[in-house]
Amino acid sequence: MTEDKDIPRLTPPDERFPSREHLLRRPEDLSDEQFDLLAAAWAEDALGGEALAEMNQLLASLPSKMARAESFRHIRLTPSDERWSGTGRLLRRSVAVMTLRRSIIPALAAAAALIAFILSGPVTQRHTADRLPTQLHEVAVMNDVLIPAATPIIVDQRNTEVAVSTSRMLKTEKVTRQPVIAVNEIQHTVPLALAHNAASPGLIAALPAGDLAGMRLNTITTPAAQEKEANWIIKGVSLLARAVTKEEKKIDGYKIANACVNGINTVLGWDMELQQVSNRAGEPVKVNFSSSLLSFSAPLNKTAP
Amino acid sequence: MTVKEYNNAVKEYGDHVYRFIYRSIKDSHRADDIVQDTYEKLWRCVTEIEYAAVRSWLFTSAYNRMIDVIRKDSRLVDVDYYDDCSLYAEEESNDLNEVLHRALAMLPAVQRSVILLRDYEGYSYREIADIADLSEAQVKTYIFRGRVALRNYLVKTSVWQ
Repeated sequence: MTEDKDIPRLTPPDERFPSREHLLRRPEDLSDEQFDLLAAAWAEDALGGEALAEMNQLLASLPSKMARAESFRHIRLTPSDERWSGTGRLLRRSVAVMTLRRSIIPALAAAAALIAFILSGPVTQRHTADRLPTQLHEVAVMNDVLIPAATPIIVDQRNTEVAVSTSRMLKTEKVTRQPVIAVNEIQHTVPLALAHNAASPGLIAALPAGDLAGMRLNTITTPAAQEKEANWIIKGVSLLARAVTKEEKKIDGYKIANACVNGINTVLGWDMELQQVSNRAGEPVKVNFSSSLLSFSAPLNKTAP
Repeated sequence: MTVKEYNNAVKEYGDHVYRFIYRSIKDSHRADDIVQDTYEKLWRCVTEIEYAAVRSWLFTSAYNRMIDVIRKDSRLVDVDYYDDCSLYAEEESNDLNEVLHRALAMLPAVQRSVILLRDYEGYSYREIADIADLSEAQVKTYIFRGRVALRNYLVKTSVWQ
């Protein structure tokens, strides 16, 4: 091993830099650019320690520099009021809301549509027909009256016994001033005062009161009105099917509704059921709808309100 | 971060991020795209980010996206100082804030961004350094030089005598 004392070392000589004083600088010697950078930092309160003390000393000694440095405090940008238009697009819905929107609301909407599908059409149109005086006028001058079995016409006539309680075609003539009452099982020529509506007497006011037979009418369905009573949805589907296939298609409303229910069950995993109930003759009389949220039973082809 | 917190982040910081980007690139459509991309990215990792950190995350992500866009457009000019008197010509208003914004638009993108983060959002030098992926000293230098450039603009346009 070699000891330290064995290594030769150089000892620094005593020379001095002769013009050292010339290189010394004072704060006042800073160029404008250098001062501005320091002033910007000073205005941002970014200086600390000796730098801050030195800057404060400089500014105190030179008022003009102070004004210049202070001006940097005003170089501040204020946010404008630009608004981002995409805020609404990026908002997300919670899982609960999404579940509600994706399952319950469509299911309720489907159920509502189903109810509307079943209940609208014949019943609604019939009620409307019952309320309209113009429709009543049409009834008063009609030639053919179809009396459904479920709603027989009850004729209240003192002089002639008339009781029609089955479903058959009732032939009448246009109301005249000399009515002839002839009653048999099939055809009747009966001038009738329709007592179910306040407007009825006015329509037949010209007739002698004694020639009229009082009559309570639940529902009279004319062939024309019956045609109108076809469910508008089914009519629409029929028209569409006819337009596509160029053939006359008979559309079954129950099948359509049932297909809707099955489709909803498949898509949403729900367990809804639509069942058609028929009478002994095989004619559908009502549909039963059941689900976990909603159950109801609606008659089909109702002829009474 | 929950969905509710994400939505809060959209409502609370959407305008701020948009303003920052729009003022940085002066293109409303691109700014809109960048902010949308940023929030889409946030949504993809919504469960991994704490709400307390979302503001910085948004600015960082939007800033990086903006830099990518600028680079793609080859519009990033790496200039430390703005010193082009020809640009002073389009002078319209003497409102200090408007003049400052016009002057800001002439600064290099990085310098502009750090000043916006400082003035608009009040971020510290450290936070700005994190967002812009710079050192704290670099951020200070950009900001101080930016201030000097803005002041020079005001003086040269006679807004300040």
